Amino acid sequence: MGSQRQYLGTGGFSSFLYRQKRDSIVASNGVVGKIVEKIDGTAYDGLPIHSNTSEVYLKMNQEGAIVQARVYNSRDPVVDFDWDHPHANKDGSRFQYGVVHVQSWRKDAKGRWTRDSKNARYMTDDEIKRFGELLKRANPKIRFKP
Amino acid sequence: MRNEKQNLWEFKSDTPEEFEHAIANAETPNEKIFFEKMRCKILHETAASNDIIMHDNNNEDGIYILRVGTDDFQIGKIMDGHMVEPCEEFSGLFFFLTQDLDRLIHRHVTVGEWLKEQDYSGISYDANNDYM
Repeated sequence: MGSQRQYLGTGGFSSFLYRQKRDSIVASNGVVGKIVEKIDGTAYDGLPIHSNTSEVYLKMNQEGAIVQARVYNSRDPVVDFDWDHPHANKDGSRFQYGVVHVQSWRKDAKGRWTRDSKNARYMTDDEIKRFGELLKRANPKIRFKP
Repeated sequence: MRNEKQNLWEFKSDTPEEFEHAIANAETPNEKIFFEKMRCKILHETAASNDIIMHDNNNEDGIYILRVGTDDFQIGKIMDGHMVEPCEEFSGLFFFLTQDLDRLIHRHVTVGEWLKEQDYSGISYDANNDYM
C-alpha cells in the first residue's frame, strides 16, 4: 500500500507508507475492507493510489469515523466512495453529506492515473450489491440514494 | 497534436481555455504563477492521497484547501485543531473559485476573490501527499 514512488511495476512496494488500523471489516459476501492510515501522516492524508493485496481500503477521520472507501482491482484504483462531505459537479449536480457519491479512476492519454471529476454519481445497483453491506458496516449512518 | 492535447483533459472538469484565459489576464505575478502551477499539477500530478494547496496554519481564517485526485477541490475550516463544519468538494478549479465563502468566514467573498485579497500568499506548491 503506497504511492506511485514506492510502487514497483513488478508488483508490491519497496516500502510501506500506510499501516492497518483496527481489524478488517468483512461483509457476508466476503468483501473485506481494511482501515489504513499513513505512517507519520496528518489529518489531510488520503488513501493510497495503489493497494497491496486488498480490494477495499477505508479511511478514518480524527474522530474515528470511517469517511471514505477506495476500491482497487489488481492493486490499481477503480472508484472512490465518499460521504463525509457534500460534492458539487461543475454542471450543477450536487450530492449531499451522508449520501455516497462515486468517482472513477482512469488513466489519461499519457497513462497517468486521473480521478474523473466530470462524472461524480450515485452508486449503481451492482456496486450497492457488492460493497453496500461493507460500507454500512464501516459507517451505519450512510445512505446510498438521496 | 490538438487531439492529444484535448485527450489530456478528457476526465477533467477544467479546460485548457480556462487556464489560458486566466494566465493571460492575471493581475499580479503571483496570480499568474498560481494558475500556471495549478495547470501543471492538474495535468501531471496525481493527488490520490491529497495535495495540500492551502494549510489552515497559512491564513488567519483557518481555511484549508485540498486538491483531491486530479481537479477536485475540498475546502474547510480548522479551529483549535478541529474541523468547524464538514468540508465541501467541488469539481474543477474554476468552478471552485466561484464558490461563496460566507459559510466559513461570514462574509460574501468567493474563493477566488479571497485568494486575490492576499495575493495568493500561503499557497503551497510542494505539499502533495503522494510525493511526501
